[in-house]
Amino acid sequence: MDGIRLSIASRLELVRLLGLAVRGICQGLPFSGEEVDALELAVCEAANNAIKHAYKGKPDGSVRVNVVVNDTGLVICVQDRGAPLEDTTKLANELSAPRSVNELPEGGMGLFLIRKAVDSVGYKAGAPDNVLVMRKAFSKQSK
Amino acid sequence: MEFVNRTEQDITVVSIRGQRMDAAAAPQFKGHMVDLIQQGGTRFVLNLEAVDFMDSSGLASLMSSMKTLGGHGEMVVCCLGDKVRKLFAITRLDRGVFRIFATEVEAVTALSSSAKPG
Repeated sequence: MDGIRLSIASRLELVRLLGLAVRGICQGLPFSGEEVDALELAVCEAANNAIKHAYKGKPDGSVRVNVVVNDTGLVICVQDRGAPLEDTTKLANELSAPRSVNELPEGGMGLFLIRKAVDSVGYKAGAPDNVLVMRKAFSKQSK
Repeated sequence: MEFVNRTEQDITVVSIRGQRMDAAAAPQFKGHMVDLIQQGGTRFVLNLEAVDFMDSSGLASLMSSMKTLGGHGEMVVCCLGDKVRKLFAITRLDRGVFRIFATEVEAVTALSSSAKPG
C-alpha cells in the first residue's frame, strides 16, 4: 500500500517529529482542528507504546509510520519490530472515571486516547512487524 | 523542560516552561515534583499555561505526583489551554480527581482556603 512514509529511531524525544509530520498531513485534509489534534496525539501515543513496550526503551529499533490517504479518509499504520502487544484486549478497554487518587489508572490511557481519536483500530503482531492500524474518515466536506 | 517555582504562604506554585508535556518530558517533571515533595511541600498549584501538547505519559506524571503526595497534600492545576483541558475531560480526570482553575490567583486562593493537610 503506497503512502507517505515516516521513520524514527526508537527514542521518545523523536516522537514529537512524527506527531508534527502527521499534523501537517492532516491539516491539508478535510479534518476539523480538534480531529487534527487528536490524530497527532494518537500517532504519538502509538509511537510511545512501541518504544516503551515493544522495544522496552531500547534506542536501536525503529518506528515506522505509513500514512495512506484515500477518497474517504486516512489510514495510519504504526510499525515496530519489538515485542508484540500480549494482551490485545487492552485495545478495547474503557477508562472508568476515577473518583480518588487510589483509583487513578496506572496505564492503558494511551490506547484509550487512540481509540477516541479514530474510527477503528486494528493490531497485527509480529511476522516480522507489529502493526497498529488506525482508520479515520473525513468529517468535513472535501474541498 | 524547565520549571519556575514560587512559594506563597505554604503553597508551591510550579509553572512549567515547556510546550510539551509528553513521554520524553514526563520523567523530568516527575523527578522535579518528587524533589519538591521530599523537601516538605504538600500543597501545589501547577500552572500549565505554557503547555500546548500533553499525552498520556504527561497525564500519568501528574497522577504519579498525586500518588507521591499520598493523601497528605493537595495538587491543583490551572491555566489549561483548550487541548489540555480536552484531554482532562476525555480521560475524566476533571471529575473530582484534579481541581482545575482558570487562573493562578483562583487556584492559590482555593488552596489557601482549603483545610491544611494533617
